[in-house]
Amino acid sequence: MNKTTISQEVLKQIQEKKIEPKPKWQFLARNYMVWGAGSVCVVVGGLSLSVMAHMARVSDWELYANADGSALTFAIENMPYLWIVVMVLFILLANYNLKHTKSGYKYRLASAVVVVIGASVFVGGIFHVMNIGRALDSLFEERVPYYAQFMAPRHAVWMNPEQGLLTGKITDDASDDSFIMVDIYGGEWEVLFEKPELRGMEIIKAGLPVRIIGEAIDDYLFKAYIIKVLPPEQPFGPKEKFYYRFKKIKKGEPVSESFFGRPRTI
Amino acid sequence: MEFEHLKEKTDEELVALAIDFQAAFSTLIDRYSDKLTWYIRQITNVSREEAEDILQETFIKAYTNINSFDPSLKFSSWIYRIAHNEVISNYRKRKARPQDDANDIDDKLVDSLVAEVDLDKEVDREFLRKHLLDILGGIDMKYREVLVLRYFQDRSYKEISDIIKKPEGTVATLINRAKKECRKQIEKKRK
Repeated sequence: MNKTTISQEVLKQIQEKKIEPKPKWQFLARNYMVWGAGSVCVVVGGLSLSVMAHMARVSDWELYANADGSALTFAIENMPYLWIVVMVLFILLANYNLKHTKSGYKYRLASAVVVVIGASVFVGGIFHVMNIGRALDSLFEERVPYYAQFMAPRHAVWMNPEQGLLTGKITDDASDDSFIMVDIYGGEWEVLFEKPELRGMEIIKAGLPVRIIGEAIDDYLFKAYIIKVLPPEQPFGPKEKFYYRFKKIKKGEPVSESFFGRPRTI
Repeated sequence: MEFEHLKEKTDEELVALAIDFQAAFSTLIDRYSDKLTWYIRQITNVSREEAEDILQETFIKAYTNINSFDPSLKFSSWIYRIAHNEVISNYRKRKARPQDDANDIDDKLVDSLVAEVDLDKEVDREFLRKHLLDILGGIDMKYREVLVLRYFQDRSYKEISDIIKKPEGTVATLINRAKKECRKQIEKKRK
């Protein structure tokens, strides 16, 4: 078949099959979709990073270092596994989208990943400064099913009385040397103190969520050396058990002795 | 618009006209049909007739997607890219190797490949010419096509990058590996 025949044959097929060029808007729409999807992935990656940055900031590592706890345990319990998975997944998706843009093929995989990670870090930094990471973490703890349970280890690491770690909410205003609190699992404690180091507060008041470094004297008695108040909007434990018990105590209602198998002593 | 006048226009000008004026598209087909036929046959083992079928499909696809042509790209890279995709699609169905028509190979092309593959020019030039298609057929498709584009179609690294949609660095790596594979095949053939 010579050249003229090939062009004639092609034009004949175009006419017979009524082939028409696809409209330009279809290609533009596809490009916008690819860029749009890639941008969404970068934003989600950035959100994940901002939540992780927030969690690192409020992990209270420097407070934990005062206790006898294991640094490795602390790191493992506080690792934001869920957000790491989300970040990695969306960075990979963003990279996939970048590769499918018009010029995406020109970038080597390593360069593309660096660009995408860099963009996520930049966006995540902005979100972190705007406290969006904190807001998202709080919102997820309140509203997203199973999130609180999944993230519980970061709170549980602070509930180890044998190692001098206690966390919960103060139920009554303090006397000269003690106060009552409910821990995050609904257990009740009398906390004794003698010139403790107070962080984030000047007076020990009812309603304050706290993390305490000290030593357990017995099952319901704890001596505090350092007491740190947590910001009011910061999640600090699984809510159902804690709030149930906390509200009952505040109302002065009796709490069943068999509740979590820990009878009241006070 | 007169047909002869179209022949003076650049590829990109013809693309702009082709949407409304099929004679412009016909001129593009005439310009590229020989080169693309040769390219298709160099990297597959299809017969001339099948190569022309692939070629027709290439041009139909080009016509259908003509509004996606990006003027920042050379038209030749774009049309070769479409041919490349059609060849890959056809190759996957057939898994074939090139053969025959060593007489189609230009001596200058053989010389350039001999020089690049680092063979002894006098002894191996004739050997390569005689067994070139077999030698090419013995190497992986992804190496074969970059060798064909670089040494037989005289495409730059950037053009090859645009055609096969891989970074230029990757193209350079593929070409180096392709030359090594070529040498291996030559040694194998000699034995």
